[in-house]
Amino acid sequence: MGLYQSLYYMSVAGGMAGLYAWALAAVIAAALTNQQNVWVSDLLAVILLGAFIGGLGVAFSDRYAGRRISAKWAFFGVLIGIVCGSLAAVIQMPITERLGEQSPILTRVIAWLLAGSLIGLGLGLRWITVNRTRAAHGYVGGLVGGALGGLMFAGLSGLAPDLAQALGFMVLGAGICFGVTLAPMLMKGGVLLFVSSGDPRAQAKFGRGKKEWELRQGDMYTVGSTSREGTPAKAGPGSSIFIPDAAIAAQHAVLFGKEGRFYVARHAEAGGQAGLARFVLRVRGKTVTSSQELRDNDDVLVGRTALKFTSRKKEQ
Amino acid sequence: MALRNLAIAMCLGGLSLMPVAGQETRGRLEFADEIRMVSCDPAASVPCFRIKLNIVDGQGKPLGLELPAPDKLAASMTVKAGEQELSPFYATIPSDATVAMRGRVALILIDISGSMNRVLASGPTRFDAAKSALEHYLTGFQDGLDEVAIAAFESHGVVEGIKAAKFASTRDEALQQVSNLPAPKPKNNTGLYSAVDMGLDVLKQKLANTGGGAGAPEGLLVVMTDGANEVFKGDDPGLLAGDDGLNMVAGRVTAAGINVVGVGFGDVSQIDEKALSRLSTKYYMASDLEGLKKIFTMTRTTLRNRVQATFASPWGDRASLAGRSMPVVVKLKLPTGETLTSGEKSWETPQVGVPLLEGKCEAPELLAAIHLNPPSGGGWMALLRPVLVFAGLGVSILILWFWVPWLVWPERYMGVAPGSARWAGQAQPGAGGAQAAGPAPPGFGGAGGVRPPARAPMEKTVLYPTTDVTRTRLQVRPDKDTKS
Repeated sequence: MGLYQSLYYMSVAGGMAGLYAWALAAVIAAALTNQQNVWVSDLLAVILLGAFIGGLGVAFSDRYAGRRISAKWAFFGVLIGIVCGSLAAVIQMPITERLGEQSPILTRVIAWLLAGSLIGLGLGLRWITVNRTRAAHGYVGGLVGGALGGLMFAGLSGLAPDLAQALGFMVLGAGICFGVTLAPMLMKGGVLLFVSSGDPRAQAKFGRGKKEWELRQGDMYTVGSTSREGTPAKAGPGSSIFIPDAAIAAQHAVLFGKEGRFYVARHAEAGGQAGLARFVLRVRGKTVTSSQELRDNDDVLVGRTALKFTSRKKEQ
Repeated sequence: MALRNLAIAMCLGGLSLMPVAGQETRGRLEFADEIRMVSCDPAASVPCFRIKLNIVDGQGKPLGLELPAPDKLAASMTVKAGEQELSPFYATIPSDATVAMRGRVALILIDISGSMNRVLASGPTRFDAAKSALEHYLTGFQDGLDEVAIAAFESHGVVEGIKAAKFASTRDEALQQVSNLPAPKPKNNTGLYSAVDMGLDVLKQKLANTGGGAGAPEGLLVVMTDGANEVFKGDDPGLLAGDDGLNMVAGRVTAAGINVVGVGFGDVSQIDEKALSRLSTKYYMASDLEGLKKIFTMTRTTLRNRVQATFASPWGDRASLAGRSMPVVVKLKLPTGETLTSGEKSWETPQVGVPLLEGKCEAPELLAAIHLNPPSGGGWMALLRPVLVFAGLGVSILILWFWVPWLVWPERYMGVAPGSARWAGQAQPGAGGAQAAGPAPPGFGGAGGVRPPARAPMEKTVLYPTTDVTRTRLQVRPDKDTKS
């Protein structure tokens, strides 16, 4: 799946999370008939919003990164969302108390901004080990989504009850997921694009969607045929670029960005005379025996899979 | 009933009471509590609102007026909620007995700054006079109904001291709290703003724990001081001060919906009257015993002159109220033809969620609701609308998920269009289609089609020795191979 497609689908997934949160909040609120604490409604709504956005955001992000959806990480996302949602509701209380009566619309928008930004920040922190900017982008995405959602809620509730609130939740969710997904796109130094593969499994997995892997300076990526389930740590067991091709070693090659350039090298497991004989790794038609710099528009052949590298920094 | 009078009873000895609000003389209605949304189900499907009002004069003092007969009280009232004029379906004047049964939760904050050691003209110090007033007041304490906490404040340990206040439910416990009040020390200053701020938190928490409903106790915060907010170096860090601190606490008092009675006593010239007026919903300056008696009388009158009314929401269901602010103004037409009007009070909904019901209608309210048949909420529509919204938005999500991407990225879903080329040089003459991605990588080039040509029977894959692993080529089998 391409980066723009990921961005699109993640935004829709965020909207879906918002819709689910709205529906569940409405059902629970209907059951609460003797609630003296007016903040309970806000707390409930924001916690559900955080839980759904956190859970679905992490799950779909893993899916579009080419990894399996891990229940553990999805649950972690839910937990992050609940904590950040609770925090937003708690911070909102004194603001409402002091400002609510004088400036109701402003207070409402601030509450939505708080909810969006804190949930976005928390969700972005889930990838703090691999991409620090995701937290910042999640925060900004949440701010924008929260502002739009809050204005929608405050401005349209009178005209379209239920719809305005549901749309507000959806816009907030979409904003957060958009921000979290946008970060890797903006920060990428290069992209590895799937072209085609002689292995039907790889072709079926990536052929239609034209999978793209974003590459960032300073990071190291392992190309291999072993799926990594869980966090995409920079270097560890499993592959951050997983291609199910029988001709690709479990850990076949290493891609890394250094001083503004990108390089590909054979992984130790695919090195040596036996590795050279068995595992194909070519750049621009030439076999890579140790390491090789990648240039814009280079063709990379890994096993029976053809990839194309494009760099953000174009050749002069 | 005793605590009801406490606010004022403390003003003690010797001083004349000077009610200090504006100088208007015309009567008016004054909101005595927050506007609360209650359920009148099954009598009415729309949410209802309960309001409580005091009848006071222009200066905020209780006003004795002839009110409409109980059966005509609701008809004599009009409520302007938002832009709509409504009539309450139920209105009543609670009796003293009713109020007494509800009890009252009071938090009394006593200033123990250094100036409280000054001696009054009548003999005792201000502090001793305050203690005497408290003890006098507690003679009317109703065990089991009233609850009171008495806390001292100065400029050290303000937050901790008030937070630690324990609510006494018996007279003996309350008297013990009075006798345990620490004596003022000369170096004590006055953290007045922070004390009121913390007092609101403690009282709100206490009220929240007592549960809601029409029978819930009323809250009262009494703040007694003989000076002004004074915070200096060496006092608690972070104590509120200046205009910002005053504005913040004044805003909280306004929004809290709790009766806050400010009592300034002693030398009037030393009391920050302006701050006291903003920190309280009602304040008094007391200087003699006569004034104290007047305050007692006034408090009882206020309770007798309270009106409670319930009206149906102008909007059919709770979801329709979400995201709104509903300003409410109440009018009461008296038998004399005079009309009392309240100030505007806003009912605020949650900032993100749907407003929740704060209780249920009592039996008399339900009976009135049935009798007067308040407007229906369009029951089935209130249930159906969220379902339709969910279904509609769900379908939109499905369209965005499954259909729109086919329009935006058709090549990703439909493969390579017929006639288009994957690699440069493969495009068929005259055929349109997507632009080729570039030259084909080794092993992926074809002779003019998307797929490489099928192998001829005489072709085989030859793997070169390890010294030349980079060259995998298709070679034509030697003739002898094909022959054999």
